[in-house]
Amino acid sequence: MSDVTFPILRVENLSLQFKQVQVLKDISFSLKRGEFAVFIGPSGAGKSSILRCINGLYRATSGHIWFEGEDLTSYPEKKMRKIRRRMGMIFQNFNVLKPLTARTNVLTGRLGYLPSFPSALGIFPPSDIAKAEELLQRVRMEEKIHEPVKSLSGGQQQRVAIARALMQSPVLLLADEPVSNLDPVTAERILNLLKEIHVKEHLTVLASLHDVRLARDVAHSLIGIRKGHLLFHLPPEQVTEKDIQTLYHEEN
Amino acid sequence: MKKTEDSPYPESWRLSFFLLLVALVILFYAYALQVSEFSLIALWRGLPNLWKILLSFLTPDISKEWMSTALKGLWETVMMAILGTTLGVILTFPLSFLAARNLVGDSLFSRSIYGLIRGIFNLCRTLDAMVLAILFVVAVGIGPFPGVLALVVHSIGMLGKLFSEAIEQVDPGVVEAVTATGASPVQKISFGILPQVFPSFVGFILFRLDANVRMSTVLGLVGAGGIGYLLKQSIDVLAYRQAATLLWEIGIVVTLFDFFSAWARSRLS
Repeated sequence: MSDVTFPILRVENLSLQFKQVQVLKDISFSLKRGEFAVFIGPSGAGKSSILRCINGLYRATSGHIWFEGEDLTSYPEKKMRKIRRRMGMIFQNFNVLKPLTARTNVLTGRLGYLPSFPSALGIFPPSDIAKAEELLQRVRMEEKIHEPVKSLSGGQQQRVAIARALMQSPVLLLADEPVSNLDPVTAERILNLLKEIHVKEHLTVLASLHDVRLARDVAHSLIGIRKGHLLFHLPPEQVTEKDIQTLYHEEN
Repeated sequence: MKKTEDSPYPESWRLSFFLLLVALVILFYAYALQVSEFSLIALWRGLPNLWKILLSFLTPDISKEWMSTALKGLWETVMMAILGTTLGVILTFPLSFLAARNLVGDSLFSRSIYGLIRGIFNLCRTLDAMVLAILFVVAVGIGPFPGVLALVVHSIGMLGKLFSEAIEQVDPGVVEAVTATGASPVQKISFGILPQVFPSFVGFILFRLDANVRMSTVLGLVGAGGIGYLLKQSIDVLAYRQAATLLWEIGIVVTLFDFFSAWARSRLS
C-alpha cells in the first residue's frame, strides 16, 4: 500500500492552556507509520501533556490532531473512546489495578471493544482470555498470570501494563516516561522489550524519556520539547550536543 | 518594673490577665453546674435506688414468659439493624459516586448535583438517629418500621460521607489508564474505582452494622420498636428485674456484633 509514508499521526499547531497557564504552544510534527519517536526535554516541558492530548485525556485548546487521516480535535468523548482503542498507553507509575490479577489487568485492555455489560462485572469472552494469556507470555510474565499485581515488582508491573496496551490491538503506542520509576538495568530491559514489540507488531511508538542516552539508543527520531515549544524533530545522529544543551539550559 | 525577655508587657499585667482568665473559667463552670442542676446531695440520696437496680441486675427475671418476650424484642432489634443498614447501603452506593469531587464534571449542572447530594448527606447526619426516630414515629406510627427508617436515614448520612471520601482518594492514574483503553463510564467505575475502594467500603458497612445494632436497642425508648420499647415499659412499671434481663441481652448482642465487626474488618486488611 502507498500509505507506508503517509503520516499515521499529524499534530498541527497544538496549543493547550490550563486556567492561566500556557502548557503547550504551537506544537507541530508528524509521525511516519512504524516510527519510534521519543520526546526529550526538561520535566514540566509538556511532554506528558502532548501524549494526553493525542488520546484525548486532555482536550487541546486549539490546533489539530490527525490520526490515520481523521481529525480528532472536534470528536466528542463518545467518538474519542473508539479512537482510544487503537492507541495503547503506558505510564510512568504503571497505573495497573493492584488488587486484581495480571490476567484481569491485561483483559481491561479489551474494555473499549466490549459492551459495558457483562464486561463491567469482570466477565470476558474466552477468546479474549486466551489472547491475554498469550500476551502475558509475550512479555515473559506467563508464570504470574494469576498473581495479584500488587505482589509484582515495578518492572513486572510495567510488563503487565505493556500487555494491557497490546490487548487493545493498537497501531500507536503512547509511552509516558515508561522507565523513569525503574532501576537502570530494569529500565533498559523494558525499553528493549518495547523495541522488540515495536518491530514485531509494526507499531508506531511515541514515548517520552528524560534519559537522553537511552532515548538516543532506542529512537528513530528525537523530539525536543522545552517550555511547551517544539525545538527540533530529528534523527538522533543529527541531534548535536549543542541542541541538548539548549534544550536543558537553565535560565535564572 | 521588670520586663521579661520574651514579653514586652510588664510582669504585673501578665499576672492580672492570668487571674482574670481563671476567674472567667470558674464563673463559666459554676454557671454550667447550676444550669444542669448538678447536685451531689441528689446523687447521695439516689444511691440506694442505684444499688437496688444493680442488685436486680444480678438477679434478672428469667421466667419462661418474660424470656420469650425479651428474645422476641431482641430479634426485632437485630432485624431492624440489618434491614436499616442494608437499605442504607443500597441507597448510598450509587449516590456516593455523584458526591465525589473527582468524578463529577466541572459544568454547572454536575456541580449542582454534587452539591445537592453532599447536602443530603450532611442533612441526614445532622439529626441524631433518636431524633429521626421521633419524627418517623409521628409520621408512620409506633413500631419497628419508624426505627428502620431512622436507621436508613442516619446510615445514608454516615456512609455517604465515608463512601464519597474513599472514592475521592482513589489513584487518578489508574482511572486514567482505564480511560485510555477506551472504556465506557460504567467500565471506568467498575475497573478504575471499585477495586480500589472495595475493602474500605466493606469495612465501613461492617462498622455501620455494628453501630446500628447498638442504636436500634435504644430507639424503642421513643416508640420506634425493638428491645428498647420493652425496656421503657418495664422501667415505667418499676419492674427492675425484667429490665435487667433486657440489659443483659443488649450487652451480649452488642458485644457479639462488636467482636464480629472487628474480626471481619481485621480479616480484610
